[in-house]
Amino acid sequence: MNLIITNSSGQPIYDQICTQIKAMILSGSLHEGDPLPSMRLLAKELRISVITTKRAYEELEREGFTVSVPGKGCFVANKNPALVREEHLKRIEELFGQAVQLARQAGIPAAELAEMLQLQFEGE
Amino acid sequence: MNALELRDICKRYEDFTLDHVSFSVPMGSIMGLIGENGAGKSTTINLVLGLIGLDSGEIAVLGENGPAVSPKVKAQLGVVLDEAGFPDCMTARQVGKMLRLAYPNWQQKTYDGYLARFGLPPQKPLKDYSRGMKMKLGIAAALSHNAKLLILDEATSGLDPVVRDEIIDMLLEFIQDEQHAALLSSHITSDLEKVCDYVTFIHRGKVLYSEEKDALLERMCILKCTQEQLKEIDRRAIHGVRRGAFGVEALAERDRLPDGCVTDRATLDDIIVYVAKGERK
Amino acid sequence: MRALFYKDLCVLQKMLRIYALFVVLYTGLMVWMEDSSFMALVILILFSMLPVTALTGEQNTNWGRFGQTMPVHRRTMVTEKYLLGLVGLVLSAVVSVAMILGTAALRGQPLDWGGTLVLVGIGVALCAVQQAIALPLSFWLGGERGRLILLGSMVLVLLALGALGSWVEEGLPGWLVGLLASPWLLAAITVVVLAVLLVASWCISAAVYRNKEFN
Repeated sequence: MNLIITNSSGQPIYDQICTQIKAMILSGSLHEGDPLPSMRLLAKELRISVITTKRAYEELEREGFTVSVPGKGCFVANKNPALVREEHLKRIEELFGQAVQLARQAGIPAAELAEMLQLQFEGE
Repeated sequence: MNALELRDICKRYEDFTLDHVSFSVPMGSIMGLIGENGAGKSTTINLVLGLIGLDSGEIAVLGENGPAVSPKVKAQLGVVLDEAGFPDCMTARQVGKMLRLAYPNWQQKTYDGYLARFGLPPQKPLKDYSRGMKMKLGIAAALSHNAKLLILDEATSGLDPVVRDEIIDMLLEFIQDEQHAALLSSHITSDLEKVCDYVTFIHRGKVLYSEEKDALLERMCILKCTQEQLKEIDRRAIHGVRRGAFGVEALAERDRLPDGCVTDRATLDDIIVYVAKGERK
Repeated sequence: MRALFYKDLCVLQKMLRIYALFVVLYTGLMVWMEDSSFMALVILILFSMLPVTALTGEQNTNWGRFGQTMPVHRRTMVTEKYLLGLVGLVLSAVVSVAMILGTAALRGQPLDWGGTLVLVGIGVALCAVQQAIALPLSFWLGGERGRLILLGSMVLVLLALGALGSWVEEGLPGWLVGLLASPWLLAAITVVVLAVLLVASWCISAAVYRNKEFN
């Protein structure tokens, strides 16, 4: 498992970890039942505070991506299709947000944007 | 359990007072102690170790209340001070022998392992050691008797980045289980940013911040604005100001700032400097 | 305490080697000179200075601060220095007696056990008094001033020996002569007095050291 974190982006580190692990789960690099590295080991290897890794893991568990077994550690949860869909929707919404911001800056109307979206779908 | 608890400790000197300092180091964590020279970091550590007497307040080390630290608890402390402290005429081997006689849980194999790992010649007298080597010996000694709490007082100043990196690795290894903790006092805040879970900032004998390091660094930011804009902002949000020729920079609490402010990430160094500069106005 | 003994031994190693050299040199001188028993007493003084030497050496380096982090009671540290002192006294007594009698033997003179023991006994007693005074002072003042204490006490002991010597030559008072007639009684009284003195000295040192601050 590879995790790349950076101090120079505005994103908090625990969030970066969450995002990357979620991406791995969604893409299938991490399978159901795979164990995650221990919080402390992760902290040591990434050279960050264990409080941060704990927060990341708690977040993942809260959103349903992982389950923690007392005494054994954290494992990737069984794939919940609703959860996966929701995650994808969230990501799409983010990307839409970026596109809309750019459109506003460039003065491009919503209608033109919708047309571009349609073309993209048809092009696939 | 907390590895270390300080409750309202006070120590008065002629020209300096440590005033109601309180903080705790939970087991399984690393606490960084930061502040300017003379802020009270070493005084605090001296009080924890029983090197100097407390005027008031309580200290609990590994669950044992003061005032003095008993030898039983001291046997579980690994201490590295800024000056290595072993007599110059002794060799690393002799130091090991001496410590074996002093500590009930002395691990000779571990000690020898560290000597080898650090490349410290065991038969050379310490007066022939460089400063870095002496510090490494101090660390080897501190880690070779199953200590539960590690206390490092400016143990890494004067060491090159490679050595400091090794030491960070060892500290992270040290707290891999919940049974250990460490208190680090250092000026090299970049090291602390890598390794600490909690940070306590002592300024002129008082604790200004004592919280999770990441939370503190997220909470604070460096605000960049004009003199006029600064006036519009809630005074309570500003913790220190630096006025320049082309604008103003201030240490500020992110949450209390209005939207649209230009901000930068704050580092531990920034926090120390801005608070200090803020006072000098 | 064994750790502290070991440390002091390591630290005093060089000094002990020099002392051993002194012993050889002085014995040589003594064989050559007339009536030179007092030279052995110099050796006695040197050995009895060991604990104060060790103490001042300690306080001049960073050991003072680091030593406090070791799992040893402060009063144990004090006790160790006093024991070191006693070891020094015994060692020096044995060596001094050996030097004086050895010299006599080498010169073909009769062995004056009685006189030698009395002389060395007086020397040891004075050195014990010196320790009783110098140790608390060293614990209290430490470091640089410790060296002054060392020098001062050495001078005092030599002066006392000298005064004692001239007093003996003048003629002793009656009651003392009577006492000297039973040397075992004198020895016993001296030992008791010294023991009391050293214990009192230990108590003072322990109290001083308990409250000492190491910044």
